[in-house]
Amino acid sequence: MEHDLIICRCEEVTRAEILDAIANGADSVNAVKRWTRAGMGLCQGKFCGRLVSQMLANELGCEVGQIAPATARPPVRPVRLELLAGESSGDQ
Amino acid sequence: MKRAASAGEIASGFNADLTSAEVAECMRKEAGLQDAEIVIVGGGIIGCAIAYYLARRGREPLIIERCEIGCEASGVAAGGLWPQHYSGGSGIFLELCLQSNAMFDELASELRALTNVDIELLHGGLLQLLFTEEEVAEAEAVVGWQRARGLEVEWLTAGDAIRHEPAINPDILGAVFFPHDDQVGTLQLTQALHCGARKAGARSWLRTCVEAVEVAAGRVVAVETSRGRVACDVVVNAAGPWAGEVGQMIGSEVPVIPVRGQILCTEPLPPLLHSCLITEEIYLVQKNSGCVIVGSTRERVGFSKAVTAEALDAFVAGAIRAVPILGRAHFMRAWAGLRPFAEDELPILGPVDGVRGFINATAHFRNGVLLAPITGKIISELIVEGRSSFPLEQFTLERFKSHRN
Repeated sequence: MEHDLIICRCEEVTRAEILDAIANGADSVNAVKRWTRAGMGLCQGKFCGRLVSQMLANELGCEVGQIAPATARPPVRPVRLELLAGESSGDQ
Repeated sequence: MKRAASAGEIASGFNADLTSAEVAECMRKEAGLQDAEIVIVGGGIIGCAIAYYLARRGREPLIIERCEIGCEASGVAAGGLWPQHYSGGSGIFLELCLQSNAMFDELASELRALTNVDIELLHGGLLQLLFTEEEVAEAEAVVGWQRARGLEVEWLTAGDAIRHEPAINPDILGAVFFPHDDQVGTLQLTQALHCGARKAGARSWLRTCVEAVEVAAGRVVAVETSRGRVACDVVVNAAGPWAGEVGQMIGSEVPVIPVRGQILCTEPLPPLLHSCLITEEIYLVQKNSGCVIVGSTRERVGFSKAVTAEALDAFVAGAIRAVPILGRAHFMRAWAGLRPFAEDELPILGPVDGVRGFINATAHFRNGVLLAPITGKIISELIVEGRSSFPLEQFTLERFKSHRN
């Protein structure tokens, strides 16, 4: 498989970069995220999270089900700051 | 993959295809595998920095981290290196902050050469925006003492500030510019320190808990961990807000509590901010990724890392007030970190009376990233040479005892 294949599209993280992080000791989706930014982009890992889990399972020789998912951060979808400002503080 | 021979196999002659020198080497490694001269409890930015500076001096410390490298405050900090803004007046703490700040250029190039990681050190300075007459008066006092101390700091009119940073709100009364208060990528720095430490000879055990510290005849002799006993001569307590628990293992009270700091992060934006910005309410930092980070809070809520609507409201209002166009940016993520805090807001660094070999390095509060290099240097000096090149009297645990007397 091509090493320059993009796994995380939002942050443009390649397969080679993720394999490199795993080889350097990243052994969870969160660790890969911290090392490479895969999953930190606009989609919040909705696309790449499963691919990263699969790669971790392959490299570490375990089942995908044993790989913990990344920490979920609010909001689920990006929201405009001015919308938040309008809803929460109409007097400001 | 070729399996390493165990000591038992070697002793029973099971693995006959090894030379005697290889057998001796394997047995030495097997016997010594659990032992370390120096154990560092905590794989955050402070533990990793200490491991890095020790390894650069030829030592082989073992980091024991109960979760993952940089998975608490070190992994979520904004990365502001703001000695002039945050040190709160002239004195020994300011000197500590300034010395650490001055170490970043060299550290960035060392880490780049050793690990190929770019720590994203950006020299844009820090711009403090002033919206009221009271803020102007306070800032004048700060500029006054900083200039008297010989520090570089610039007073900008609203017009100057807008020419410097065009995205800011034109309604400011003025601004103060700290040209040497910069920023760094904290994830990158923590990772590079860990990686560099390992390349230079340090080891790290992740997902391993330290359960007890064994003391005999007034000195540290071992730690008990979830992976078994590790004989050692030195234990460094770099457990951040959990440092109190590690202190208790030797019967020492390390008065550190967690203070929550929340952060909001926008979607990646085109280059918008040249400097870090700070107001009475918030700070704003644009990272290399393009994301603008808005922080932070100072809350004593125990070990909760929850994000609150009140904090996000304040961040949104404060961010739009400082940089109005941010209203059109999307809010992508929010999170919180727990910073280790001592009542006098100073770090706790150095040895403990009565237990030789136990060294604290915690309570860095808002300045853990800034103080990582100097902490690594000082603690490695204490361990290797028995003394620190920086005076530590005001930073040791003993200061709390003298307060009570």
